[in-house]
Amino acid sequence: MRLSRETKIELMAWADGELPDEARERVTQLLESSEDARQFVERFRALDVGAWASQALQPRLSAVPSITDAVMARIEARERTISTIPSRRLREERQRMRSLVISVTTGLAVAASLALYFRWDSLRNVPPIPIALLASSSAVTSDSSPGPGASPLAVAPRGVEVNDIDALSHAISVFEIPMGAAAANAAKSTGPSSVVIWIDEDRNAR
Amino acid sequence: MTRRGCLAAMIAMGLGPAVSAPLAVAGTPAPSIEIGVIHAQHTDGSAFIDPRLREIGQHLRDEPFVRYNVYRLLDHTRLPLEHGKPVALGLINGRTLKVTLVESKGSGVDRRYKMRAEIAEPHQEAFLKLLEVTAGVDEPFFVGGQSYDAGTLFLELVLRP
Repeated sequence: MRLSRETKIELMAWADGELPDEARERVTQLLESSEDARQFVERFRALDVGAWASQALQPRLSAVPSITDAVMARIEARERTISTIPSRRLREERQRMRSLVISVTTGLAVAASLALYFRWDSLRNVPPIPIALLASSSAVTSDSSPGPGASPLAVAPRGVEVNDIDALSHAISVFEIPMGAAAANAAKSTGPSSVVIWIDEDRNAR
Repeated sequence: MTRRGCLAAMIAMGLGPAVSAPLAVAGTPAPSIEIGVIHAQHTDGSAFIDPRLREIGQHLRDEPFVRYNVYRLLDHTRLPLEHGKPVALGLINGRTLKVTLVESKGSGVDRRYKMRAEIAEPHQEAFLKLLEVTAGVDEPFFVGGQSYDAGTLFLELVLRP
């Protein structure tokens, strides 16, 4: 026979002599008829009261923190879920944007590389532009002088060619001008041309 | 290394004149260099172009000549050139123009000359460290930009036979 919690409390109260008369008579009858009740009282009297009570009520007492933990766990889990959803979406959105940016950047870099390659390839295969074919009074400005052995800055079939300029810290501009008789009809000029090499007086002007 | 690279390296090592001199056609006299020192100013007054500056007179609408309306010829010099030997001209601003005939190619009217110019400045680094130009005779070119007397200097350089 399993004793109920109320019965156990009554048995403990009976053992301590704290039961009212009517309850004491009922518990006395129970002790006469129930072996479990008698053993319970014997164990109660034999053990340390505090430890025994704690042990006897352990299932109920331990249930409380379990439920509390469970509830708290549920609450925390829900909170985590609620707080996770937006950040996850945000993270996914950021990842999508990052992928998009990387894709666009990669695409642009590839396009620029191809353009540069074809431009360089075409420049390599084309002889220097004859200065005479440039527009009248056009200027080539150089921020850095070409090194020794560099290609001519300007080449004409006849006319003045500038092969190399180095003015150290001075900025350099090269102006092409029609030459001689061509100068009189500059707009139609395709003849030989000359140059004005302009070097800024100010140092570090480049 | 390409031939051009070798040549550049030898020139850098100071062997330029020794290498370039044989490139000149033997027996052909070297040209002279004619140097005109021109002072250009922009004034609010009337324009003035020295009548001896015929070439500039044709380019007054072109950059950079269009910036000025007064042109005066300050100096006019003709110096004989020899391959690999620099000739020098003291300029009015204290700097020195050096011109060296480096190489000549072709013959007759197609003969062309490669020359180097330098504008040195006392006690300072060169205003123009190197200018290398190829031109035929009677083909002038200009070097401008040096400040002088509220204006600028143009150097007109032209090879003469």
